[in-house]
Amino acid sequence: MLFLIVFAVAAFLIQVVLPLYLLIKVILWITRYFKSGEVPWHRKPAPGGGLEAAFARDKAAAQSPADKIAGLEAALESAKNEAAALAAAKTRREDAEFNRRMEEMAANMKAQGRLDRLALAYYVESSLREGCEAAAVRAALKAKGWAEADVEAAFLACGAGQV
Amino acid sequence: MIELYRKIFAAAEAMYKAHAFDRTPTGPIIAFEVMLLAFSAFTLWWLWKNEKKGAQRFFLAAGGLFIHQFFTSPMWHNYKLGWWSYLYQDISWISTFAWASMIMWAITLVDRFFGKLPDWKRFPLYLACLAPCALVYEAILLKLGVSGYSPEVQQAISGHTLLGTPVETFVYVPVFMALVVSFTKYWSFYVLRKPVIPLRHRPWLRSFGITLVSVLLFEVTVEPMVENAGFPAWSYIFHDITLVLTGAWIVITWLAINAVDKFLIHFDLRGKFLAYLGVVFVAVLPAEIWLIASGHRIYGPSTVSAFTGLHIPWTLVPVEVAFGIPLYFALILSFVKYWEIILDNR
Repeated sequence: MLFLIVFAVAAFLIQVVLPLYLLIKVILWITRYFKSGEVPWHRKPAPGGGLEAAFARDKAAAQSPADKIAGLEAALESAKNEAAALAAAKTRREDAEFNRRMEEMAANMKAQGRLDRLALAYYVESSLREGCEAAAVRAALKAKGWAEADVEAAFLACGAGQV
Repeated sequence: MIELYRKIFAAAEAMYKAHAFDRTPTGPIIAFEVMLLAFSAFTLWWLWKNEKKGAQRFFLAAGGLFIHQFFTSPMWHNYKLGWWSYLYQDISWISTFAWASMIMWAITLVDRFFGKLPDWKRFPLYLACLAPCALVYEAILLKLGVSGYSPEVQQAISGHTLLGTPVETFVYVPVFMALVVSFTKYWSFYVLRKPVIPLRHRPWLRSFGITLVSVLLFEVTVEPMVENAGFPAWSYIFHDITLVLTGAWIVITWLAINAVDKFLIHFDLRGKFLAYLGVVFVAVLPAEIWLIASGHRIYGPSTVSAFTGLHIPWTLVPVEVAFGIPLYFALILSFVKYWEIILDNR
């Protein structure tokens, strides 16, 4: 009976109260958008946002003619393309080497029966690849009860070592 | 081998004839289908352009929806959508894509506008966005004469309506959306290669609680499909949902998840999911075969009429039961694991 009451209250909140709340939020955001022109959702800045933002500031402050701006834009675009191509080539080489190392590590850990350390190594590798800081990853793993030795072994296996 | 294919083909043809229904659409239905297709196409294009792996996640949502529709298809029908619209019996791919589009818009908009909230707080917001859309969509389908419910469902509902839809939709829609959204989000973690923290100590009690809620809610929504008979009178908790059977499914699911997470801790999300399904299937199939043979599980007439007539070898159990088990548990397992992941990976 208690479960049914809890479920009914939850269903009412989710299907009546929350949609009304969201509708009011949407109306407020729309009015704010039309007043300020500011986009309401939060997005991570695109890669190279710093460079592009600096260029946009220069462009706004500059008194140069349009062809000078067009030349600068073209130079920026080609520099970006070159950087992306170099980064991709470097990433491919690093990925191949990294994959080979991870496979060796996985085989060793499976032979030792340390599947928990293997799982930790996979987690550390994917977290670092996502851009998480090593210190934050260490703290998260210790918060979940993992021993210092296991955490350090996972970092060593990924080649990240001590910070 | 050729004989097997002949049998399958004959069964498919017999099933097609046995389940023949009116597929002829009217003008308003065709216009509505065109609108749904345009909406789905726009959604797919927008997701592909603006979201990381957006198209893949769209098809994940469609896959989760198809699993749910396939499993619960005896409870409802979708007629008059045109011969081009049907995937299997009366499951329409156009309707599946329309639902997938609604789900992906809800997820995308909530994730963008409420990106700073933790996942567990955003989940009710997904349902809050989807529930009104689902009600309106269902009301339109009922009004057009496309949608309808099986006799068992009509017996189970109260008869009261809101916007032309049964009030029980307020129970059914959030549960079905919760399962499909969590399926989509769980597999999004895999597709997007999100790191999932391994746990040193399994939270057994929390895991049991989430599994209990998930199985109980799903059982409530699919209750009209099957009758559970012959269990002790004290064990019936809601209509013919019995604590004995539901409790067994809860315990099996809970043990499968915890055993795989402990002994196969190094597997990725896909490997673990297949392992959960495998363990559950091996445990549940013999139980289900025994329950059907002993008369404890009696499938409703609408469910039985949807069967092909093929049986599991050496048993009299319909082969659909063997398919139904992984379909049922795929949604429950993804719900439980999604909630565990978002609670652990804050």
